[in-house]
Amino acid sequence: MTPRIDSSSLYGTLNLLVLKSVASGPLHGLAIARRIQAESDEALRVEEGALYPALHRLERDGLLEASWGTSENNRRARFYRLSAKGRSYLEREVERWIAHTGAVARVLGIDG
Amino acid sequence: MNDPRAHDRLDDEVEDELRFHLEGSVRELLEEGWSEDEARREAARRFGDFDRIRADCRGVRRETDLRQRRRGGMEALRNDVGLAIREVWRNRSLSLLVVLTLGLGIGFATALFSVVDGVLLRPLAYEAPERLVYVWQNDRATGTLREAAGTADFYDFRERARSFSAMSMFGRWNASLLRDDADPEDLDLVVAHHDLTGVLGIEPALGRFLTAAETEGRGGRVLVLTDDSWRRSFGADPNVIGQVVLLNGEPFDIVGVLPPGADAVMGGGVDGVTPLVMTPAQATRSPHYATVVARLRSGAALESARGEMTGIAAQLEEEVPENANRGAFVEPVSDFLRGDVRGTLWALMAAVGILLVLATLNVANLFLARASARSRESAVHTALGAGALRTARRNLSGTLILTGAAGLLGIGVAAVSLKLILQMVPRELIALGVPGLDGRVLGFALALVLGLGVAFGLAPTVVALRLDLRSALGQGRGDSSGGRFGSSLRRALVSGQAGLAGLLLVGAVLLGTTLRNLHGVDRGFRTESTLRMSFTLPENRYPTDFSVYPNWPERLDFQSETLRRVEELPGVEIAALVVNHPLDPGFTNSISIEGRGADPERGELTTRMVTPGYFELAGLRVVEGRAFEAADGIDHPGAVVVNRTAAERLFPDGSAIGSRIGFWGTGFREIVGIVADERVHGLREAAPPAFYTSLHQTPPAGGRLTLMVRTRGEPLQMAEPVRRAVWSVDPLLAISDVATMDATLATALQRERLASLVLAVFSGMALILAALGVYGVLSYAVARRKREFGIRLALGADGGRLRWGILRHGVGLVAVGLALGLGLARLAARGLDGLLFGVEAGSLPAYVGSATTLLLVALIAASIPAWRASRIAPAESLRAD
Repeated sequence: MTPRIDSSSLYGTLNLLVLKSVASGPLHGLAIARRIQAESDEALRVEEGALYPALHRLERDGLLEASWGTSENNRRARFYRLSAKGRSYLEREVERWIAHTGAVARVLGIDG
Repeated sequence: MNDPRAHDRLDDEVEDELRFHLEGSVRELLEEGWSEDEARREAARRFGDFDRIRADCRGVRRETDLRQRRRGGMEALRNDVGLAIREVWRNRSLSLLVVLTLGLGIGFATALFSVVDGVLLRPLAYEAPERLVYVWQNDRATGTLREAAGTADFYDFRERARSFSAMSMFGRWNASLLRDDADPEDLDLVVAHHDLTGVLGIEPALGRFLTAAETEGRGGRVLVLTDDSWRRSFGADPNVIGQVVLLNGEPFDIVGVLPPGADAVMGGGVDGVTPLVMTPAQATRSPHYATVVARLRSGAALESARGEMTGIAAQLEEEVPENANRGAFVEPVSDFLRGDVRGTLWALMAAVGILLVLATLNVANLFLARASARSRESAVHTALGAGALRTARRNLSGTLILTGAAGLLGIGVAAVSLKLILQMVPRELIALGVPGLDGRVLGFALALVLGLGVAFGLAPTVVALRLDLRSALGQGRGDSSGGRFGSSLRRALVSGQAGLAGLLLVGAVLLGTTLRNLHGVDRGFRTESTLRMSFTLPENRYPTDFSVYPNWPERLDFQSETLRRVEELPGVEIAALVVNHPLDPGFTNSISIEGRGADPERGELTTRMVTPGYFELAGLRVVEGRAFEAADGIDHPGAVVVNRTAAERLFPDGSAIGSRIGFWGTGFREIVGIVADERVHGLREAAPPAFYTSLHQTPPAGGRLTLMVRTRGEPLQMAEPVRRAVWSVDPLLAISDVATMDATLATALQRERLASLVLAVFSGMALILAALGVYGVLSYAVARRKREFGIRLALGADGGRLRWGILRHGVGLVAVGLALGLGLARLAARGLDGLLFGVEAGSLPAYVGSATTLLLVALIAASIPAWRASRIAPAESLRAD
């Protein structure tokens, strides 16, 4: 069983993950959860429900735009996509994250 | 935003979204082979605390919703304002006109309000000022209503009256103030009883007021300054208490400073207070110089106080023979101080109010006309659900921009007009409270701006809302502006304004002519390039011993020496000393003619006491004989000069020269010359019969002299050199009342100038309004009949005749109002009779001129819509509907 990492310690990171997952196109909440799990090789299994307050806050703060649409099963679902503001935020933060972890790795003597 | 339905909707959405996730999760598990029940339990477990998460999400959704609404609102507002600005720009000539009209109206209303506020509304700076009264004496024999009392009467009143909680008195005097390092200054002072601050309910701002001991002469000589003089002469120095100054050569200790506005009850302009220095035993029944002021006891009514004082006065009449015919009159202080002007100010305020209302109606009319011309557009708007609020906001933004601009213009106008008004208003009025553009006044202006803006903004909205949608869209010709009744109301409005303009114009012309006549009257004396200043020769240095009159060497020497030194100054052409300058009526004396005995019918002659240079300075021509010469001194026989009126009246046979007249019981003096007349009793009255004596022969006992100087250049520039010349003769003399004769003349004409200005301004505004009214009504009529005109023009109608028809309509409206207005003017002008000079109330040129001006203005205002009508492209007019 992959270790369940409590989402609260990864809150800031969670935002980044969400933004990254909708970067290539709008997704509904369930799909976002699955994509995060998939792309992290199941290493991160977020408490699924905790995703939603995060999604709503990102929408409130203007980084995501939301609208109702139809899912692949023809059901009504709420889709989220990256806003312009979200896109530029994502780019900036990813760069910073890389710089940060790179520095930590160097300190710990780990090769990148 | 607490709309429960909106909240429900958001909550449902959150619910749906979270359920979608759960359902999907369950389906995935089912596909992995879980059973239905276990799949549901597992999905729920993996999801987490559903209720908490749902509550969290709902909260955030509401926030998001709120933010979105606000942003949308801001954007809509920005849109509306942008649209409004573009609207204003599109109709810029109209907008400019509206801003100008309203700006002038708001400006005058604000300036006038400032005066009304300062003079009437702001309470006096005393405790419970409505309880303060004057206790006047009056004289039944001479029929006066208000007189000062004798000090003995004051003390008796104080002792006997029960209706008052406190009573005090003051009496005016002046003195010259001398300090180190400062020029002597003339101070307006009062002597007062120590209870004055108690009566007024005020505390000194610095130091203390007078004590009972000082009032009765048992204390030292002390001085309490007023706020104005403390700031002006002592630089608001907080260490002024304890300084010693010389008043008329005597040392006084400064012991206190009064708060601002304390001297209003004394008529304003008071520089300081000194003690009465008189015990009840020393007090006298006359002279009457004590103005008594008292505070009504709480619970005592004015009427009962009046009754009591009348009774006390009657008692005193019986006890003291000197008090025969002296009664008492109790009058509230604010009535006395404000009574005169109350009526006038409120009348002016009402007049401005009327003008403002008219301006409002006019502008509203214009907006309505425009709105109804675009009523189809509004109807479509409404049909698309623009919402009443939205439409209102659109209109409001536009009109608030206009009234805001008008408000800014108005404040500028108010500032300028206030300056003008203050120049022309008597000083006693300003003493009550200097009008200025302070917070209250600006608040008034703001209220006007908002009120007008809202009124204009909402009117078209209200109209648009009552629009009959069907008729607007169906018939293709929206007409929502009140129909038949509305349009006859509008026409009546235009006629009314034309009438008002005509009325005011007549008044303005009459007063303008009056002013011109007054300036052109043959005064008899020159005022150009003439400076004057006054000083009082104090008794202690310039004794007046009547036993050796007129041998008063100190005064005579002062006179000659001062004139000599002043005339030596390079910028001075000629100088003279007088007791009364030509715009000061002075006093009269009865005279007797040698050889003719007493003649009571003769009346009295106006007495002018001058030095020889006066005749040349004032430009008085010598008609016969000679004027005074240097030789006419005290060692010479008395010489007198009479004016032409006196000569003709007293010596109709032409024997004036050589005859001798006597006055003051000092023997007869020979008439040596006749001079031209001077209008010393005011410009309106013919010159009174007068005689002149030379100050070198008859030095005045009163001691107040006025020095008149004809200068080569600008008179005020010589003020300082002349003062220094006077001080070089007597450095302790306080010089006051420095002014040019031209300015004095202007002040003499104050009333006429003010009335003329007011009428000119009001008539100008009324004229603009009338023009606006004509323009508005005709524009609207043309807009309504656009289609009709278009068709007629297309069918070959003559554009010129079309124009003419419209012009006739406009001029006709004005003519009707004009006839009424001029008729009213004829009646009202009678009220101006007292002010007019050299022109009759019914003078034809005034009425003809007024009518012509108005008709011309109407023609110009009508020509714009008329021109537009004849240029209507037929196709466009058909399409417009």
